[in-house]
Amino acid sequence: MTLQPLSPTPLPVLTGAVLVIGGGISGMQSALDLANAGIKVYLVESSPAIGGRMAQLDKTFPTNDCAMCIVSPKLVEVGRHPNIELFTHSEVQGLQGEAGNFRAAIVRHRRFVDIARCTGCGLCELACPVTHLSYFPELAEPGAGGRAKAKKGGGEKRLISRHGPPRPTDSQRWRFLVDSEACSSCGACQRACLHAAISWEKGQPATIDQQRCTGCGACWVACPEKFSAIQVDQAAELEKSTGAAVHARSQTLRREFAAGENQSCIRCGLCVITCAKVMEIRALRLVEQGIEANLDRCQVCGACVSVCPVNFLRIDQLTRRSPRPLLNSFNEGLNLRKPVNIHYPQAVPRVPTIDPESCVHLNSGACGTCATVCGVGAIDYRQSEEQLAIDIGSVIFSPGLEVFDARRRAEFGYGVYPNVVTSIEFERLLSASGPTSGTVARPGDGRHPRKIAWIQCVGSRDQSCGRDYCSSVCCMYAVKEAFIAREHDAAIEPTIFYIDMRSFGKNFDAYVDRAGQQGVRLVRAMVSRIFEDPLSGDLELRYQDESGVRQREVFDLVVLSVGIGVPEKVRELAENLGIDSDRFGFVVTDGYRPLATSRPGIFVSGAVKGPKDIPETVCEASAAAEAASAGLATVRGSLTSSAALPPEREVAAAEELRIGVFICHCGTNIAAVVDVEAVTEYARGLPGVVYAEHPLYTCSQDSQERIREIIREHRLNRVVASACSPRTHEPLFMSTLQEAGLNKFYFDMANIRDQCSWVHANDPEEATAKAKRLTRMAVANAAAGVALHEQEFPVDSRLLVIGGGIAGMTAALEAARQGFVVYLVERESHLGGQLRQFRRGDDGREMADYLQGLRTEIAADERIRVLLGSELVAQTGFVGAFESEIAMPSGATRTIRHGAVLLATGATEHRPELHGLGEYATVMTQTDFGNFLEDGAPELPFAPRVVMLQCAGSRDPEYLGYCSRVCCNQAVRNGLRFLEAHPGGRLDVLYRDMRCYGMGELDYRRARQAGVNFIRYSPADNSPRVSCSAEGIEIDLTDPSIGLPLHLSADLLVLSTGMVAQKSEELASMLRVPCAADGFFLEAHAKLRPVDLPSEGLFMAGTAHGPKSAGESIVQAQAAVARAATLLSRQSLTMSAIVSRVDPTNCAVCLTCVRACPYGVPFINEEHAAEINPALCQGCGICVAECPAKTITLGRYDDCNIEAKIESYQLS
Amino acid sequence: MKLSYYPGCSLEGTAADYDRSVRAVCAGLGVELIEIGDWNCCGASSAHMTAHHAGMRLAIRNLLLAEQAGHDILVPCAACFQRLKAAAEALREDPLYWDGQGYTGKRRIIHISTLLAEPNLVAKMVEAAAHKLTGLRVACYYGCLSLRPPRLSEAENHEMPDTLERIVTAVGAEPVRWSHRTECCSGSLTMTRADIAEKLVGDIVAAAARAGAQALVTDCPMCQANVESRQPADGREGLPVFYATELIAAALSGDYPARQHRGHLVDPGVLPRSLAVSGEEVR
Repeated sequence: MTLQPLSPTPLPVLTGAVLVIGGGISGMQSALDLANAGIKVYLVESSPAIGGRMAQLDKTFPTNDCAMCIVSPKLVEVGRHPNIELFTHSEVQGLQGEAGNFRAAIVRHRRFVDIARCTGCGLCELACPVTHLSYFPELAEPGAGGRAKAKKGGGEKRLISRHGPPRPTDSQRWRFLVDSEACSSCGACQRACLHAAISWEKGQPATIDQQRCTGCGACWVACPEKFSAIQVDQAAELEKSTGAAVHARSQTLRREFAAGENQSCIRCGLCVITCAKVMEIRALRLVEQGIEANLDRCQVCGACVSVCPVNFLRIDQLTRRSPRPLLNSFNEGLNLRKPVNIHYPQAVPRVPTIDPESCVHLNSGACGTCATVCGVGAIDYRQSEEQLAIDIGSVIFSPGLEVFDARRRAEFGYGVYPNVVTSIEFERLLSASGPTSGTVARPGDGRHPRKIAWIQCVGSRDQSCGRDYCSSVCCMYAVKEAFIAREHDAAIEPTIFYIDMRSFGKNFDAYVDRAGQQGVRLVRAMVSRIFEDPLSGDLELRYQDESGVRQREVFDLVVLSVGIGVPEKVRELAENLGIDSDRFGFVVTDGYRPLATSRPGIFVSGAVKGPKDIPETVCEASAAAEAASAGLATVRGSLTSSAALPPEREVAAAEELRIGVFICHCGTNIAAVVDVEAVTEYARGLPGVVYAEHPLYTCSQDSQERIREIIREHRLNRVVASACSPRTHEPLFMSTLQEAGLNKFYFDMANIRDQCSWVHANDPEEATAKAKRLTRMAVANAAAGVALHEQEFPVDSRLLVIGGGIAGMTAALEAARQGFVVYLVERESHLGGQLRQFRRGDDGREMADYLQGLRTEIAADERIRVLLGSELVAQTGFVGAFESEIAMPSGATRTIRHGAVLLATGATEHRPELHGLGEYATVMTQTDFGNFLEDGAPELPFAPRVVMLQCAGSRDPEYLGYCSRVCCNQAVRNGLRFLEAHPGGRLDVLYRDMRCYGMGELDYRRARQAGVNFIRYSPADNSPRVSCSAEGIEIDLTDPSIGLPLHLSADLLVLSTGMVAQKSEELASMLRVPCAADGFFLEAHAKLRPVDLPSEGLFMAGTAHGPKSAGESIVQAQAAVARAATLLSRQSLTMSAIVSRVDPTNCAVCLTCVRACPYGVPFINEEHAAEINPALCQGCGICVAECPAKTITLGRYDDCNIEAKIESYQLS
Repeated sequence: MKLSYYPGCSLEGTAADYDRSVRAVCAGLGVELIEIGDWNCCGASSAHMTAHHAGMRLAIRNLLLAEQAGHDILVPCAACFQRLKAAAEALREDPLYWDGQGYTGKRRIIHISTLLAEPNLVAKMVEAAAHKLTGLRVACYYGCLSLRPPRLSEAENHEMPDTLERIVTAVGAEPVRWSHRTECCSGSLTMTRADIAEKLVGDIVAAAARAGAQALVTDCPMCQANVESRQPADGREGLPVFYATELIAAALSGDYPARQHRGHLVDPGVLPRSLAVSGEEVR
């Protein structure tokens, strides 16, 4: 169906594009949701690659999924999306205009690498010899070019000779010749030669005895520049540059000398050559006993050290100045990087950046090695900063977070004691792609730590350093890090020192319990100070344990759980954009419009709106996408594009095989080890191969064009690429096939980089043989390939919302604003849900007014059809084309058709039969108490005594096993209001952990200052004994802060009882969606798909997902609409071509597939055979493997493909 | 640079060696000290613990005297420093109550190491220290009163200070990395609970020795006296505690006079020995 304009009056022309600021998980999710719903996206990221903080994490709680594994598909999708334009290494400088029509000024910083040309092979980074920030001489005239010549002679010299005298090698030696024409017969070369290989007599040109020469280059360096009579005659890669040749020889020698430790100098001369001929410094000289360094001349760039194949040199020996290593910011400074570097291995775009501060060429004009090794000419030293203006309709502000500078809590010695690290550094230490390759090692000495301590709330809940709020995520990430550390090394004994364990999210408590069973020790204590043993580097922690006894405990490593905040730059940007922030820098929004900033048209998402974890961030990101696009619904699709493909050529079954094979050099990434010419020659002889070649970069743009031409010219019907990883490059090659009019499944790929040249770098012969084998298998597989087709089917743009509470009402209104027709089905006879029980919202506003406002808006919107007193009774169909039976109050049923479902069935307040709740008027729930305070509480005495009991029937396996997340904040708010109304009253709150996450901590502190007594209890050993009777309420427990028994008499007992899910089993089985034992629906992925249900086309929002506040429910409702909009905004959906198909002839109806499918897709049809709906199949192949009759097939991964590969492998 | 100088009672008695070295160093670095005329007790020790008012008013009188002199006030004793800072705060908060009309609060109250660690003075020291204390490994020890409470002391980094390290490095000594730099020396208990004092001092000295220090360097006369006097009699050689100014004075003059020597309860021989070594090198 077509979209109707929102209103009949003509609107100003809107811009159907959105600017997303920040390329972290939040910005990426917003961008994808917008782009998939027909909105053009400009994504601006200040760092050189997208991915943000999440890309730095090792694993994620509470599922222990690898962060990189789950985020990298998103990175790739954003990078390849035709409707997302990426501006990395760029910043927003200003914003003009108003909602609907903004113009943003963007600056693209100099990267010195052409993104369009670069193939991401990484050779430049490998070949760059620089590892330190040099001390460049001040240039007299900036831009004068060339560097001031260092003064000759002079300077203190130091002889470097370790591990005995040099043992010269002539392996892979360079050949030097004397140009007798140019030779001035000065004899400098003869004096420099340490091997008596040069004969010279006064007045005669020198000659080199090639028999004696070891190729150290001492003569070359010694020959005065004005004559340059010594020339390099033969050296690998010399045609590129001296730097490239040095790198090539260094790599070869490094492999050759890999075994030995503490080797003496091998006098390869590379350090001296690099210093003189590449860096043009001439601070080093080869001498009889080793290397002589001129301490005053050295520029401390580190090049000589990095090219030395035997690690003979140390930079601190070469200079008197302190070396300034270039620290890898992605690895939190735990290891080094080069001036030219790719931000991280999986970076998107995988394009390096050159740091203008440390690059030698950009500062002194020397070196320039990277430009010479780049095979595609992508290095551009003269690139200039770009100023751009883009037009957009709205803006999403999601610039992300910074971690607290732990130096400000100096008692922990961070930055002074090397074995005190921050939690984000520890993530990098755990990460397989981190500085230690995933080995947990102490930065101080590289030793494996046994005892590791985590200290919580470093830069959180601490007004002394301006961080009053709780960072919300640290408890969980600390538990996760401890958990994972033990997984890495079972000998590790982790201890977490904490104040309150704030594991308030869905399934978090269960995770903490599991960690406890896995040996993670939790100690409730504030560590006062860390003492370091200066000899061992071990760390003594001092704290008071729960019984009040002072303890000292020694640890090998301490991790500071640093809080999160808003970077200064982001505060400035927020101000520049004209949006309001609080005193911590967090962007301020209205509780009921949680994503709209103070400037209309700018929306906010992620940690810049307050500390939060990944699922909440993803949720907000989707919601912000929804909010940002709602006003642009009329111009959806106006700026997006879709690629037009040529018609596909039919390949007849009988057509002879015509296979084209492309063997990639990947610069020298592959070709330096694998003999690609030999592999190409070999490929030519394989059956069916009619064409083979070996491009320098198969993935470069010109190669892709060439492949298209070759496919047409040679009428190829299969294509094989032997190159890098299909994970990153298969989609590119497949689209090339499509552009050439060939079905994209006539393709296969062999990864001869990762699996050959990288892992077998020391064995070129075997690597080449393996590359041949892998290519042969890919050719066989491609030969067995068949054409597969993606099917399209139309989408019904209507949305069914089940549940008319705050989530359902918000979702209905937002979906209508997006232009979709909504059916809002509510079981009760009125809208409003659980919030009808509340007099006031979290911010103190009247709840009834707000709900009435929503009802009025819904009634006024003709796109929303409200079905009250109605229930869903049956549903058929699939994503894009559902059919639902609704039982109406009249008893009749009505069938409605819609493209997606949004579940918002909610939860209710838990009312357990506990401590006389329901029996005595003096015992009530928090919600009751809130309303009781509203009514003026006339029956309370002058100075009322109130006791609140937290977790009453919550976090208790006998009642509700989970934490309901909202009760602590609710208790604190009610407590503050109680003391305001009754200044003489007394309030004791009995709690287990005060989970006042985020800004709730501020109220918690206010409550303590207002005089509320918070008394901790533990159900295991200090459970309050409550006796309630008509006479009164008496409570006994021990107050752990004073260690004494306590007796409390109360006028009122308020129970924080938690939330319980609506009965949902029936609905869950009708919709075929999973529902956990506690009754809450299970999301498709706890981290990255928080509002998607596992079945396609079904979404959820609000407390049906788990306990949460009204504001959080509104965010989820908007997020779920954004997710639904990515389906509903399309005319049609494309089904994957790779889906399981059942051949009914052999189906034995054994139900194996029905049981095996994790998505519940297979069913038994009327013909009495299993059937798999291709629209729902995820293509995982489990049913294919399980089917005993082998009657299920999965295109591209059929037995014939696998067999073809295996048979081809066995051929020798 | 001209400064009002408040020596306090320690520097006239038990810490006379401190006073001498402070005056020598300031003279050597071009800082002119003008002793506050008719200064009295700062109110530390007995006064502020027994009679809050008396303690406060004693300190306030000194501040009002200094106000007339019109310079910033240099205070070498950490206890005096803390009391004067407390008095300044009281005057700021309630000048009428404390009869402090006319007190402007413009005169900074500066502790000695904060002064000496200023970059220009460090640079002067590097230049003027003709006799670098090369090879002398010292543990810089701050104690508490010059840093805590930070609200009063306004110390730059009260948990991880580095003023003493900056100073000793300037004269060529080598500060060790150790963790007991701001621990309590038990000065206020040294008379009443010698057992506690010995335990705390023992911890501090053991930590410094383990870090490889040959001596401690401090800027507090109570720490100096207490840590030297309460070192455990376990037969091991004790560590002398120097005032930072003693080190600077020695580096400036190349001499460590016997008079200074006598001020120590633990043999301070490492300092003259280090001077001798540096003398060898100069020759």
